[in-house]
Amino acid sequence: MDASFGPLELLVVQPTPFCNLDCSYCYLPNRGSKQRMREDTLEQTFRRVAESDLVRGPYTVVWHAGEPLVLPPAYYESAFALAARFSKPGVEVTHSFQTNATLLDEDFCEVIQRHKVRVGVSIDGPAFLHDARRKTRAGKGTHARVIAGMEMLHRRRIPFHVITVLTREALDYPDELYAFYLEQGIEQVGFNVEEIEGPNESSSLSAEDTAQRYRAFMSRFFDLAMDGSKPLKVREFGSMIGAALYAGPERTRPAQEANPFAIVSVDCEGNFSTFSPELLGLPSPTYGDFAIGNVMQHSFAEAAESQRYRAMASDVAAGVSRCKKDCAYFDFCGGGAPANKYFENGSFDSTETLFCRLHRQALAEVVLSKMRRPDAADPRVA
Amino acid sequence: VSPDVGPSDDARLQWVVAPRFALKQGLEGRLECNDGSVRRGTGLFPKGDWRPLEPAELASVEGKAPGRDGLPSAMDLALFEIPEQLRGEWWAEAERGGEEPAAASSFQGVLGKVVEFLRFKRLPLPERVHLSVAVNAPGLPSTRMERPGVPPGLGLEVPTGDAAASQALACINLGDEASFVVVLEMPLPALAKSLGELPDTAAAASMVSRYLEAFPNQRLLKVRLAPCEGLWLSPLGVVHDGWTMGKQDLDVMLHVGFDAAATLTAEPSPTGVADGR
Repeated sequence: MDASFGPLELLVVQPTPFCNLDCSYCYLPNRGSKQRMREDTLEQTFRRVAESDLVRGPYTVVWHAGEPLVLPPAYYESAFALAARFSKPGVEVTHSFQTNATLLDEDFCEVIQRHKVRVGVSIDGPAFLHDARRKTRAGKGTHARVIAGMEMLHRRRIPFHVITVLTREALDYPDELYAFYLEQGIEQVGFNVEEIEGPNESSSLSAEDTAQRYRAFMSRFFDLAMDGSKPLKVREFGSMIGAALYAGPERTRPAQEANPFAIVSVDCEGNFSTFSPELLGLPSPTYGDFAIGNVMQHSFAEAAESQRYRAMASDVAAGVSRCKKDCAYFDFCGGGAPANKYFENGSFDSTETLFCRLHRQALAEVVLSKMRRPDAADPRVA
Repeated sequence: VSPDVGPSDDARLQWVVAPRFALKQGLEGRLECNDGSVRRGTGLFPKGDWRPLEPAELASVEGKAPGRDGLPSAMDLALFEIPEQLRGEWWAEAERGGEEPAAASSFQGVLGKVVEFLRFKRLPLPERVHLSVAVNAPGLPSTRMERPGVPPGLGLEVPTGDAAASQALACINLGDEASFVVVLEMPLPALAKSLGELPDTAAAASMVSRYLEAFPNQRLLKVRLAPCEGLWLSPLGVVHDGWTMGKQDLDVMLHVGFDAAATLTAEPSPTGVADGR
């Protein structure tokens, strides 16, 4: 595989599609399945990565299911040992759990500490916001259990960040969210927007006035996070400030999700895909499926020669070209998220989505409005 | 009109949680009622015979919450809450009070943030509001002092500052202990109607006195506000007062007022206050 593929930045492994929760906005179609990835499939996954030319620097293995912690700690001890066995000398591999934290226990904490696993906890803020969407299969709220999990992480001095899904309702509560993060000792936050993907066919953020409300939310949260009693690192602000400082016609990095094989996603049966991780496992009338191979039968290079991959890659590239031509925000983005384009617009070969309008365009407007030249006077000082 | 008759349902203010706020406690356990008011000197004051509302009484005063995107109606008494961080900032300034020449502007800065927060929450504040903080000792059956032209006790105005120009619109408990506000469940126009008069904000103080004298057994409600919690009073004008009996600590209340005469006679306001939307 030549340099136009990768380098690999994220290997997203789905050891099981099962999740113990049933969040209303989840895009995973088979999260009730208790299937798990077999050891030989896992081994073959890491072998395929090692054999490819995609590893040209450090990368992260994201254990993203379902809920990764429904599998026992021993599963991950074996998995991490396999990953180490196939890792290239001198290449740093970081493991990462994105978890709902309801199943965290002392044994998991041991594994996390021993292997320096990065932990991201999914929590949507205070109980009244979180429990509205993140429920058990019996329809009960899960907030208290997530808090207990986070408290365990704090007790064990395990650093973690949180990811909060912004729904329309959440946009009215920036102060409450900020206060919640502070109360819980959370120092790093990432905001996802409720997206239209797979089974989640509509979003509470689709209403006409959402962009205005999103801007108001982000503007207020920016002020709180930067000027509040305790600074808070917000992924979106950091990355947008970086993009603003770096942006330029010849300097724009391609969007990670649109960059072939920068992300490789592997499901529990060994099927794999690239581009947006959400694609794997979802049906597609256009391509039949988004899986471009199976680690038990295909190398990544072989998959890259497949008709399906070529069709997908061609459409993704065409969509990025359209973005470059049509979108004033291209320099801050690099071409958008293929999954959003496909599920909202019906094609990778398309441009603007809800995600673009909010998490790229409106966010860029907010962050740029807050930035000023280093020699400019502080407008807040009379 | 019989002195024992309460306001008709369509004239009674209703209690709601303001839209876009999530309070830890609802109405239950928050409201008490009494048997009316009593004259002492030049003012009218709540009687002290408070009792908790019965469940049926509570249900009858609870209004239909405005939708998530709505605004409190003119007939709503709406509970809300400011972030603890803002209350903390006020106290940080208070503890530094007098030590720095810039103290006044620092206080204004903190109070400005409170207004900014309330505007973000889309509470229908007029363009110009008056802010004042009243500090009262525990053990008082009223927190409104007598001022020129304004009797002490129950009234429509903020208890401090230029009363003639400032009708109370909201109050927020900045203290460390729960605070209490006493209200009459009728807005000024309903009160005027009961007297067979037209509402007149210029003569409001006298109208309030005449109404309470005419209906001394008209019950009052006392609401408990935890630290950071606030009460949005209808811009139509709500008779109210503070109550610090039973408290252990200083009562510290931020009052938000506005020039009712100017605002209510203006053309339809984009803030939604003028027409009570």
